Amino acid sequence: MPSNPTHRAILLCALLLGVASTGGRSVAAQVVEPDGKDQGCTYCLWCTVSDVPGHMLQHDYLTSSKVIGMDHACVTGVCPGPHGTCAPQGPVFGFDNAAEVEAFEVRLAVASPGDLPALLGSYGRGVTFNRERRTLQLMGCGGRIVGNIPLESEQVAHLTATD
Amino acid sequence: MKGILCRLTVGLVTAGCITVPVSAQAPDGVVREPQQCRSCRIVLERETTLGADSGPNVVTSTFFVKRDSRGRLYSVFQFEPSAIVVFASDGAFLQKIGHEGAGPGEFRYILGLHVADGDTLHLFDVGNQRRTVLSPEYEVVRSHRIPPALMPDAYAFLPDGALVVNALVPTPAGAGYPLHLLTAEGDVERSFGTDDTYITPRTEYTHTVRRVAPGDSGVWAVPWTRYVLQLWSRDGTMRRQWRRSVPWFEPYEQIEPLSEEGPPAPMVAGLSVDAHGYLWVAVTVADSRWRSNLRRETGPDGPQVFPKAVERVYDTILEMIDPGTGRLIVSERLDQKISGFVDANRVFGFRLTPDGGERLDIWRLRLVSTVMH
Repeated sequence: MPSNPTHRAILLCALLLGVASTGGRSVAAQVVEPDGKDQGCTYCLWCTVSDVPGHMLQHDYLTSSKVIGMDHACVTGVCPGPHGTCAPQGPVFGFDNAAEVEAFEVRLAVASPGDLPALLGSYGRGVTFNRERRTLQLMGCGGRIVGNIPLESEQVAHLTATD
Repeated sequence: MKGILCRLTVGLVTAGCITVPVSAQAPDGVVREPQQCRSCRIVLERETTLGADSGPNVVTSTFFVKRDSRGRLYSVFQFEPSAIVVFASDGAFLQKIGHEGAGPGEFRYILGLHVADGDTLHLFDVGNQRRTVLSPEYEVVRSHRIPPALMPDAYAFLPDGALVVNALVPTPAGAGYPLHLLTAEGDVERSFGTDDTYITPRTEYTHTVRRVAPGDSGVWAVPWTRYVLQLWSRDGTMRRQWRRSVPWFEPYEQIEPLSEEGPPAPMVAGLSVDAHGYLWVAVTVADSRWRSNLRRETGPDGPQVFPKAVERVYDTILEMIDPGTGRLIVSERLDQKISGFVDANRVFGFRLTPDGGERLDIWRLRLVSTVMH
């Protein structure tokens, strides 16, 4: 369970409401593995949200928004003008959908510390244990770290023992 | 009002209206009210306006406007993010610098511009993942790498020349941290800036984005979504923290687009440190008339809500804080939206003309006392 109270509360709500259910899909389907055919993840690295036409309220990065995966341009707000910044970047592997990341958070929240090694193993390269930072790190499409989840001491102990 | 006898430009501390900031006393605390200078008010005087209905002076969205010692104004507009537009101090168009490409003097997406001593320009081009340094005559001097996911107008040069940037650094060492000290070559030497490094794809942007400004011994940073001023040293330790506890700025987790369902959330729009070391913070808040001044428009991503007039949807609360004591010096609510600081003495704001044209106003900040001395 996350140490941050807000995140803990969000996850508990998600559990109660079932909003982050994996929908019965296999764990393996949550992580895209490279198949050697794709050109790579297409990231539109920045995008804008406008509060006035043509006026930026904020900008956003694709991987920080609702979709992590391929072939998506900007997913929030208006993307004015040509975007010369969308380009294939890196191989395709890791989490390709933010909902799958949420599903992982739920699975993590209900897992006992002893279940963690098996849980991580089921995600392949998609989830790694960063021993130095005592966090779990989630890999997004292209190998970017798109999630960093601090662990409790007991969780760290179990992962360290099997690392 | 008895009269204006104590008229102060920002940074000019005279007549005992306010005192020079003192050195650090408490590492953590709440910004103290009431404001120290009860007779002080912040007044904006429009200095110039950028923009026209046609021609090279046309302006649109931008993350920044900067000013050099010659009074020249620089900005990069969203419709052409690979070119710097230069204006004279009176707002007249002077020239464009650069065009799209990856060669010397070419840019792809400029998200920040720093005017250094001697009017050297540093251009943060995230499209080419490099910082290009231009001479005052706009010749390319050198370039350095930068992280690709830099946040807009979010960097601070420390007194020793080191550069701290606010960026998403999605590496095992950098993920979850908002601030990154760069080496001379532009690699990340150290990541820091928060004790809470929990991020997911849904939260990493809001979690990361900061307004930053250089401080005496590090970098001041404030999240857009929480009014908490923090001074971080280059070794990654937090030296000082001032939390602002006010009913008009409840912290929140996620930046959301404008909506008819509720007032726009407050957001820190700008952070600056003046010549005397005072912190200046601009916070965008909802105007009391926000609901009746929205309009709905359907775009490529579906229906969106926009203001009919920016200044009737947003106000700005501009505050001056002593970073040593955490004392609020002065706070002023302005009936307009300020988009950021041009320099320590100026802010800029975006507005629509009655016929839909876009303009950028440059305002000079003045402290005015209303009490006879």
